Order: sequence, then C-alpha cells, then structure tokens
Amino acid sequence: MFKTLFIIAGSICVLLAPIHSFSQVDSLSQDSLELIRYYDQSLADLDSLLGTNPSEVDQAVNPIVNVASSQSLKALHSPNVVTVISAEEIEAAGARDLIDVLRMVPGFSFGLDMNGKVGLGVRGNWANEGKILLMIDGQEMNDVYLSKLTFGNHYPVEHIRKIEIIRGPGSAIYGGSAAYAVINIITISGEEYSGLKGGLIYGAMEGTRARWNRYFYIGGKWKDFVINFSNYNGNGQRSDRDHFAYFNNNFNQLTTKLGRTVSLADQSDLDPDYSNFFVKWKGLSYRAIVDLYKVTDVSDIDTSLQRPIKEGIRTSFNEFSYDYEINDKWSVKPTLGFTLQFPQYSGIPVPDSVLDTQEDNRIRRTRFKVQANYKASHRVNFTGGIDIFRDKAEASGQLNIFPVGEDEISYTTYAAYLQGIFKTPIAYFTTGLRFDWNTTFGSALAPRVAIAKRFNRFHFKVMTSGAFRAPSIGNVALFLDDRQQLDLNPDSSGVRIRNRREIEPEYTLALEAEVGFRINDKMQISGNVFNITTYNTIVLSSIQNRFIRDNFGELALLSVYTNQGRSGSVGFEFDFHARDKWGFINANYSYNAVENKTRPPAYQVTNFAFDPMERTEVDPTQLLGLPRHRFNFQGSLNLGRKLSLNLTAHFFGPRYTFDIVDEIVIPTQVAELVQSDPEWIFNSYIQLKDFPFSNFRVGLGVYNMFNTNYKFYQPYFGVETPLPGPSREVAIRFIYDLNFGN
Amino acid sequence: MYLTDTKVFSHFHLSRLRGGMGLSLLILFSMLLPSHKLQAQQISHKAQSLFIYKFTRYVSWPPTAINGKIVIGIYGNSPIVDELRLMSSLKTSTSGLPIEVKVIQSIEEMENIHILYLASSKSRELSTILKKINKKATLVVAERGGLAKKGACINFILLENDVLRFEVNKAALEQHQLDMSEELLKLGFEVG
Repeated sequence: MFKTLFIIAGSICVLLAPIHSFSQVDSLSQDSLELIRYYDQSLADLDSLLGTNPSEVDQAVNPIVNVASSQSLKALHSPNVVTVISAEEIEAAGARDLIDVLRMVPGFSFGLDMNGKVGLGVRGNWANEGKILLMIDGQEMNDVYLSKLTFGNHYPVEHIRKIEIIRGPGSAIYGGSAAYAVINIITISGEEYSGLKGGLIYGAMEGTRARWNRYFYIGGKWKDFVINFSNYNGNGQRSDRDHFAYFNNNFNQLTTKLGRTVSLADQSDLDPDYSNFFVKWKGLSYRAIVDLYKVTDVSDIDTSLQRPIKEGIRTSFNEFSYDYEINDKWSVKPTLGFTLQFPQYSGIPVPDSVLDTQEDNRIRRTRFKVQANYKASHRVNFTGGIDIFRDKAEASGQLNIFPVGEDEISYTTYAAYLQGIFKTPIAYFTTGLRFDWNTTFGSALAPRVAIAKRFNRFHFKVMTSGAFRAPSIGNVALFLDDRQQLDLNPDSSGVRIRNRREIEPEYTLALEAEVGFRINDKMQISGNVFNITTYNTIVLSSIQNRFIRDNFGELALLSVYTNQGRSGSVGFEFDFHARDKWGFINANYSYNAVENKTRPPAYQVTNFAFDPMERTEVDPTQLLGLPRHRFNFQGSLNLGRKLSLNLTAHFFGPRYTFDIVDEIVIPTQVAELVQSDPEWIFNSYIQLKDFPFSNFRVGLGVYNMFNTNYKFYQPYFGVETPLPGPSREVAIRFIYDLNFGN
Repeated sequence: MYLTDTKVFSHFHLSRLRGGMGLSLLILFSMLLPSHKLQAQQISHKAQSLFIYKFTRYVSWPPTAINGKIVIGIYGNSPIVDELRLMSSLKTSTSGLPIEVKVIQSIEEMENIHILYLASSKSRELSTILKKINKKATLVVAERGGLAKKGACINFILLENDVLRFEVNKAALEQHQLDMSEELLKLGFEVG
C-alpha cells in the first residue's frame, strides 16, 4: 500500500516537474525584464530614486519632521528630543481628545488649573504658565491673555494627520511659550487628501453622557488650487464623580459651610466648536481657525447646588502667507496674522448680567513674520527671520473678565532669529539664536546648539538650548509681590492691583542627551536624560496677605502671578517602538527628580497653611500635582484586514495636592496635603473597517476600563480641590471616509 | 490617600514589573529577536548599483584605458556585489562593452579597474588606495558620505527624504583622466 502511494506521488512529481520548470523560466524571464526596465530608467527618474528601504519601525520613529528646526529633517537628526504621533496611532487608540493622545508622550502629565480647567505638565514641571506651545497648522493655540492651554474634549483629533512634539525648548525658533515643549499638530488638507470625512462619537460614563461630538471635513486640490474646511462641535462632561465646589461669595455669608460636594454629572460641560478653513493658490495661502470652547467652572456652586458659571474663550485666527521660491537656493515666506480673542461667559451671578458675549473685553494679536531660507549647499542650510507681534488688551468695566486694569495695555515684541544646519559627514550640527526685544521687558537671547549623529543601528544627540518668555498681558495684570498695592474694586467684588509691570521675564536653560538603538527591522529603543532650569519662574498661586485678610476674612486667598526664582527638574525617559504586520507597540517610561533643584515655594510639597511662613516642605523629591514616574503602553493588534484591537495603559506614580478637610469651616485647618496611590488607567478600543458598508468604520471603546478614580491635581499652591477625571466610559464612533484621491 | 498612608512606591513598581510587565516584555523580545536578521542599515544597494551602471554610461574613460570591457572592482564586503553581478549579466556599457564585476581582496589587486567601489568598512584605507591608484583612469566610488572631499571621485549620500544622490569631486575626476557628462553632474553635488 505504502509502496503504491509512493509510486503515485513520484509519478505526479515527474509529471509536474516540467510545468514547475517552465514556470520558473517564466518567472526568471519576468524578473530579468523587470531588472532591465529598472536599469533602463532615465537620469531624470534617478532624481527621486530612494536609497534606503526604511523598515516599518524606522518610518514610525524617524519620519521627516519640521517642528524642531522649521526645516525638513529626519526625527533622529533633529535638534531636539522628538516624538511623532501618526494618524494611524491616534485612530487605532480610538483617542477621544488630545488628553488621550498626549498622555502617551513620555514625561507629559495633566494637572488642574483654575476653575476646573486642565493643563499640561512636562517632565515634572507645571508648563501651563506659558511654557508649552501648541500649534495647529502653524497657529499658536495658547491664549494671548495668559499663554495657557485648556484640554478636555477641546481640539479635534479626527482631523490630525500627524503630531510632531519636541520635549525641550523650541524657543530658538518659536520664541516665548516654547520653553518646555512644542506640540505641532498638522491636520489633513486638500493638498494630500481630496475627499469627504465625517464622524460621530457618542460616549457614556457610569452616571452621565460623556460626550456627543460631530465632525466633518471636505477638501480637495485642483492643479495649483487647494481648499479644505473642517468643523468639530459637540458637548461633553469632565466627569460624573463627586467633587467639592465652593459657594459663591454672595452665599458664603449665609452658611457655615465653604461649599458642598456635588456630582459633576451634567455639571462639568466641555463644549467645543472648532472650524478650520484653508485655501491656497500656488504659494499664496489663507487660513482661518475659529475656536470657541466653553467649560463649566466646577469650582463655583450656588445655593441650589448647581454650578452656574460657564466660561469660554472665542478665538479667531487669520493668517495670510506667501511661499516664494526665489531660486534654487533662496526662499522666503512672509506671513501676516491676526488673532482676536474675547471671553464668553454665562451664568455670572452679578446683577444685570447674563453675559454671553464680552466683545468689549477683547484681546488682539497682530503678527508679521518673514522667514527666509538659504540652501548654501546640500549640506548647509540657513534659516532666518523676523517676528514682530503686538498684543493689545482693551480695558473693560467688567473687571473680572480678562482684567487689565483701567487702561488699555499693549506690548510689542521685535524678534530676529538665525539658525544654521550643517549636515557634515561627522554629524549633524544645528546652531541657532533668537533675539527678542519687548517694549516693556527688554531684550533677551535664546541660543541653541545641537549635535546629532546616526551610525549603523545607533543614534545619539546632545543638545543645549535656552528659552526666554516675556510675561503675557494677564501675567502683568495679575502680578503681585511686596512692591504692589491692592485696592478694592468700586463694587467691593474683588481687588485691583496697582503699580503693575514689575514682573520679570523668565528664562529657561535645558541640557539634553539622547541615545537610540535599532534592535532590528521592527524594534527601536531610545533613551534620554535632561536637566532643565528655569530662572525667574512665573508662577500662578494663591496668596494671602493682611489686606486680603482684613477685607475678605481669614479664609480668603487671591490668585496672582509671582516670580518665584529658580525651578526645574532632571530625569530620564525611555521610549520603545515595535512595528510588524500584526500591528504595533509603543511603550515609554519617564522619571523626573527635583531634589537637587531649587523648588519655588508655590510648587513645593508642604503642609497646608495660609501663611507661607508656616509651611514646611514635606517631600523634596517632587513637586505638587505631577508624578515622578510615568509609564505608557499602546499595543495595537490587526485581527485580519478589517478588524483591529487596541489596548492603552497609563501608569501614574504618586502625586501630591491639597484637598479640603471637611465641608465645615474650620479656620485653622481648611485643607491638608494628600498623596495619591500609584494609579493605572486602561483603555481598549476595537475598530471594524468597511462596516457596515465600504468607506465606513465603526469603533467601540471602553475607557478607564477598571474605573480608576483618577483626579487632576493642582500643581501649585491653591485650593482648587482635586478634579475627578471621567469614570469608565463606553464610546461608540461612526466614521465615513470617502477619499477621491488626488 | 492621605500623607500618613505612606507607600513604598519603588517596591510596588518593581514587583509589578517583575510579575506582569517584565514577563510580557521578555516574551515580546524572545518572540521577535530570533525571527529577524539583524541588519546594520537599510541601504538599497540595488539603487547604488543603478547609479554605478549610469556611471559606466555617462563617464568617459581615455580610450587607452579601455581594454574590451569595463571592470568594476568592489573592495570590502558588501551586498552590492550580487546586485552588480545581476546588472552586468543584463546590461552593457555605452559602447556596448561588457561589464565585469570583480571582488578585490587587497589593494595590490587594484590594477585595470575602471570603477572601484569602496565599501564603508574600507573607508579608512582611502588614502592608501589613492596613492596606489595614483593618476590611473579609475573612478573611485565611495559608499560612505564625505569621502569625495577627501579625494574619492564620488561618494553616495542619502538626502533627508531618503533619495540617493552622490557627491562628486571634479578635481579628482580630472586627476584620473575621467570626464562626467553634464547631464549626470546635475544629479550630483560638487565638492572638493
């Protein structure tokens, strides 16, 4: 039997052998023809001949970025520690907003700012006082008044093509607000995407609807003409958990309590309305972004236990620019920009005002930039420019909104910068200098020197850079130290600060080094060490002095800006990436230490006391609000061509903040220092493409799967009680994506 | 929750790493490491081979240096040998001369070579090679960037967008009695 089978099999092999040989010959001829065609390419075709076969992981960690130098450089050659987040990673994670996206960045942590607003800390330092720059399509999203950013269901993530992030100063190019990091968001445009996109996301937390957002995009390109428009709007809730809010002053006297703990469900609105329009013909382009974002002031409560105040800022950005290539070596880009910003409030509990629009209280920024680029050779490139901007704030009778005093305030900054990139065979050298002269705060230099080298599977970078930031209009208006005096407002609703403009600009110096190793075609690991020092740190904190005590009582605090000397941190970060057909893994760990750094009093981990003299530092190893240890993991698994599964995990080391002791007024012990446990947040997301029809996608996510009670902590001395983050949220997303192709 | 409720963080963190995360990472590494050959760099030697083929067509050698064929010598271990052999089996130089590919083991063997490809691993021997070749009609093509400035006729470079180009030292070309067409020169960057 076995012998018969063997003979039959042998016969089949003999019969099939010639067929196999013929097919081999055919295949060889085909290969040869292809090779002949390859070698017959014209010289013109060689103009774009690729000299590498970049691996998947190389494409992920080493794409071309512009953020570090404003020139197109590979991430590993760029003069900063760079993180690039692709649209694919955002989509796989089912990110709901920028908090979900930016949490994945090594060293980034979110903290609580005033009035229930959430901002960013970087490498253990609170960065929301104008030390981190967020740009969307080149427009600076930091508010003009305080240079702050506000996160939580704010900016759309659905339109993002990629995010380029530098951890470390970017001021040598971008000027102020870029001392600790720059986040450069590039959205899809008609240039590379002709088509329609639209989507809906609905999410529900345990106790309330979490979000209901809509977005769409339409854009296209016809020869030299490009146009696109996108809109994102909806509403969301910060949380559905309980949170302590203070009674408004008017009611404080009627009760023995400071406030009450009330659920945030349906009382912590995060309502975005964002539009982005772009049109370009040849080199001439115009962009308009309108951003209206309203947030419930969760710290304020009325007697009916409602949080009545909703604060918003409406900002419109308009920019005209012209890209002009003079010749092969020279190009120049003049840009003219106008930013108009005014607050929108509702529910302010003062007579005669349900103030929905405060257009009298506007702030304007007018900006003119010219950037020139000179390609001295294929190895040497110079970029230089001038940047002139004028911030102007108009005084208003409504003193609590963008307060600037009784006179109009305006500052003008004149800046010039020059940067040289030298791509020598030894290494890439980048050197740059930015000079700023502010009409009020004088002049300053922001220098930078960086060396980057890639050899075989290693790369390393050594970088040193400085940053300078002139105080913003709000920093000046709300600055207070011993030289200032306080006056009561005419209606006794608050205080005014006299003798303004004493605040000093702040300077930052950062030293960084990075080493990376490509383990194989699919895995890359890198690590960096950093040492950041900020001088004359501009700090927002709550203070009390005799004037405040005498006029508002023993429990009153005033939130003001001060210069608090040096601050900073040292630390290291590890970043791991793996890419393969099955999906990808991103993991990173970051650590920061402050014990060998000077720690501003308002950032120190101390016991709670109104009088700074009565505070004693409890833990010198970290600062308020932000963790020393962070770990992030994102794993995405392709389960076939259409189905993908994603798991995201975030670890937060212990953090400190002040929390209210009890709802009952106890004059001597209102709040106390608390420390969080180490916490994990896990998110999962499953996505099905071409379902139920082609061009459709459906995603289902469970966020904060184990219902961790994560809270945003205030990273400076204040009495904003910890703000709960969202509880477990289940969200479903429908996306329609019709690409016409360019 | 409160400060008095102290946590020994490092112990907690490490123990979790040992138990869960550490194991996961170990599995990940053990799964992926053996399955992939470690490569120094993702250089496309096929693209370099295409350029070298174009050199045989757009560079002129003195007639006395041509002896019925164009000889490409490769000095140093490089996968380009296979690419060039494939190319030479299919293509000829401008004047229809066959192309021969020869692996060179030592500097002494560098006789009657029209194009000498210097692999990265042998970059340090450039000056010795140049002394040996002297003014002979040999186009010295270096794999490593920056060597044209040090006397090689050509070296390859990768632009930021991964496009392959070359740097060319015209003085070195002249010294070796070679002439490059203007058309090809436009693709390169002159140095030296």
